[in-house]
Amino acid sequence: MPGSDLFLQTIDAVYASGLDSARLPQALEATSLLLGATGAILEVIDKPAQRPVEFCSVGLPDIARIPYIEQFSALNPRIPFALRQREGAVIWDHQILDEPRMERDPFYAEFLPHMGLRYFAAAIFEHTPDKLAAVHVQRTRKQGHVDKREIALMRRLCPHYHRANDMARRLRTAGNRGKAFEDAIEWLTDGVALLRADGGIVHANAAMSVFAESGNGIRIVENCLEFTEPLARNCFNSALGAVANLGDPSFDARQTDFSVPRSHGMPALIASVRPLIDTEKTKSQDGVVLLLLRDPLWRNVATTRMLQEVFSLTKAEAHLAQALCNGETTRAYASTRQVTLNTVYSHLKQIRQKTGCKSVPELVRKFGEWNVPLRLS
Amino acid sequence: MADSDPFLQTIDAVYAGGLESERMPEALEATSSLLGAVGATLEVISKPAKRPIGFWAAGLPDVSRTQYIEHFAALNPRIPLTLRQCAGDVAWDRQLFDEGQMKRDPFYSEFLPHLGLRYFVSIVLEQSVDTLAVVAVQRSRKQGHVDKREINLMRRLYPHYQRAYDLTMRLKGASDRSNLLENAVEWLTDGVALLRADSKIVYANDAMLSFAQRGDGIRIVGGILELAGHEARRSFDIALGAIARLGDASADAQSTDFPVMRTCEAPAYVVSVRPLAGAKNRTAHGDADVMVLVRDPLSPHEPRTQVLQELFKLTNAEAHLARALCNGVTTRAYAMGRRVSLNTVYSHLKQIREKTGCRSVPELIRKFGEWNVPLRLS
Repeated sequence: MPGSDLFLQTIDAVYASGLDSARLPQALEATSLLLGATGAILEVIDKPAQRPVEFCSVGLPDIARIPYIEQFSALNPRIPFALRQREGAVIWDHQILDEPRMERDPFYAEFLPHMGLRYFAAAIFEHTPDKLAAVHVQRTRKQGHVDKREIALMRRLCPHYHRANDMARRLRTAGNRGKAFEDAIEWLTDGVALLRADGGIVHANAAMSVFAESGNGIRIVENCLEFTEPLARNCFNSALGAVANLGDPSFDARQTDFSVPRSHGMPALIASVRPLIDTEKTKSQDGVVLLLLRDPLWRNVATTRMLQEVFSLTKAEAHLAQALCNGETTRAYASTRQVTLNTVYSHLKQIRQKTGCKSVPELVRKFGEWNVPLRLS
Repeated sequence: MADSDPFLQTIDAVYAGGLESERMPEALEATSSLLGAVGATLEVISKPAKRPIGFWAAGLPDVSRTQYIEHFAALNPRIPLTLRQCAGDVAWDRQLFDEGQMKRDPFYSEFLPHLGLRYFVSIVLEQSVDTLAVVAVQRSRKQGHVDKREINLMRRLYPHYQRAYDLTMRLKGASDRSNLLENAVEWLTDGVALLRADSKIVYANDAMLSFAQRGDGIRIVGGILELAGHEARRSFDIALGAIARLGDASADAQSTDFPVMRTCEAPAYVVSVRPLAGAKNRTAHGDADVMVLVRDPLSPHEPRTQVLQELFKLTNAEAHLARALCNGVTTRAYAMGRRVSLNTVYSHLKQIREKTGCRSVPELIRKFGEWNVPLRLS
C-alpha cells in the first residue's frame, strides 16, 4: 500500500523510543511527517495533580518561550474535549468547533495563529482515572484540517504508542522494587553481600565495603570478596557447602556461622552465610548466597542517642554507660576521660536511678538489648 | 484496532511478547505463519553453562528434551553455524548442506523427520561471550526450503525481535535482582517493612509478619503498621512526617529510633525508621519510600550458644551457666535453681573465665552479645 514504508518506519521509531526514551523525538518527527504536519507532541498528564508528567515536542516552538501559555492553556477547548474521550479515541478540530466558531474562539483565533498553527489530530493512547496520555500532530492553516487518511493513520498508530509507552514505563519502574530493598540493606550496620560461589559480588552494602576497604579479615579484589585468613576461607567454603543442606534437620547448621579473625588486636568479625533461593527457576542466578558480617566493636551513634532519649540521660551519663557496656572499668574510664572516680560514681548513680538497673551486668544486658542495627545517616 | 497487515500483526505480537514473556509463543506463532512454517522457537543459551536459560516455542511437537539434549543436540549442525554468526545474521539450511548431504546427516535424516520437520531459517538476536539468543522457524519437507522472501522477512523482523528480547531480558534482570535482595531481607531476624509515603505497607518480611501476628506492641491493620502506646505512635508519626517533608529523617533525627513497649514481661521492641534513598527520584506511585525495622531484643536471635560453646570449648554445664549469667541470673540463684553448690558454680565460672578470657560478668555478657547472629537458621 502507498506510504506503507513511511508507516513502518514510524512504527519502528515509536518502538525504538519505547526502549530508549531519548529517541522519542525521532518517533514524533516520523509521526509528524507521516501525517503531513508541522510538529508533534507526546504528553502524559497526571489528572489528580493536573500537570504533565511527560512531555516531548518536535517541530514546534519551545512552550517555555510562548507568551501567555498559561492563560491560553486554560482556554484550550481541546483539553476538556480530550478528557471526555475513551482510551483509543482519535480526535480532531471539527469534532469540537466548525470553522466559523474557530474564528470566534480566542485559542484558535489568537493563540494558534501566533505560532503559525491551526489544526490538530490526537490519539488518546491511554486514559485512566489517574492519567491521560496522548500523541498529537499540529498542522498549519495551509496544511489544512486532517482528512480520513490522517485519522485512519492516527488510529493505527495509537496501539503502538500505547505499547511503546508501556515498555518505557516498565523499564523505568522495573528496578524500583530491587532498589527499595537495596536502599533498605544500605541502612544496616552489618555488612551484607550477595555473592556467587566464587566470591563474585552481586551486591554489597556500604558497611560491607567499609570492612573490605580496611583489608583486615576481608578484602575485595576485582569485584570478588576474599577472606585474608586461610582459616576463614575454609570456613566460608564449608559454609557454602553447608547452606545447600540448610533446613535438613539431620544437618549440622553450625557451619553456616563462623568467625573471621582480624589482626591488630581487633576482635573477630562474625560471619553468617545463607542461601538465596530464587522463587523462579532462574538458572542464571543459582549459587548466590547471602554473607552477613557483624563487627562486635561497632558503636552505633543511633543506639546511644536512643538510650539517651529514652532514659533522659545526659551526654556524660550516656557516654559512661556505653563505655561500661564496651567493657571498660570505671577506673579506666576515669583516667582516660581525666575525671575523678567520684564523678564517675555520681554519673553511675544517676544511670542506675534513671534506667532502673541495679548492677553493671544488668545495664550491659539492657543496653545490649536496645541495639539499633541501622546507621543514622 | 488490529492491523490487517500480517507483517504488522507479527510485529505487534513480538512487542507484546517482549512486555509479557508468557505471550512470546503468540509472537512465534505469528512469525511461523508469516513465514509459512510449522512452528518457531526463541532460545536463549548460556554459553558457559551450556544450557538454555530461556526457551519459548509455538507450533512444534513437545520435543522430549532428554532425547534431544542427550543425543541430537550434540549432532545438530545448525548450532556451530549460529555460534559463528553475529547478531542480525540469518542462517538457513543451504548454507550448511545441499539436499544430498542432508540425506547423510543423522540430524537431518533421523531426528528432523521424526518431528515432521526438515528446513529452518534463523536469526541471531544476541551473540556475546556469555549468551546466544536465536529465533528459528521450522518448516516441513512439504513447505520446502526457505526462499528470498522468508530470508528477507527474517531480516525485517530482526530489529523488532531484538528490541523485544532486549526488553524481556532487562525486565527479567531487574526482577531477578529484586528477588535476590528480597530473599536476603527475608533472612533477617529483625522485622523489616517497606512503606509508601501514605504509610501503606508495600512489603514486610517474615519476621515482621510474625511480630505483627503476636499483636503485642505491633499490629498490621488494613495494610498499615500500627504501634502500641501513645509515645511510640507519636515518635512514629514524627519520623514518618519528617521523611515525607524532607525525604530525610536524620535532619530531624529526634525520633527515628524508639522503643515500643509490650504488655507482657518481654523487653520493648526497638523500632527504627529510615527514608529509602531512591524514593525522591521515583515518580511512579506505589513504590516504597520508608523502611521500618523492628528488633526484638529477645529471641529469635539469641546468642548461638552452640557456636560459642564450640568456639571457646566450653562444657555443657559451663555453656549453660554462661548463658544464665548473660540472662541476668545471679550465681546464687543459679546454684539454687540447679541444685548445685556455690563452689561448683564458682569453679565453672573460673573455667569460663579462663577459656573465654573474660575477666568479669559484664565482659562475658558483652562477648556473648557480640555473637548475636542476626539471621534466621531456616
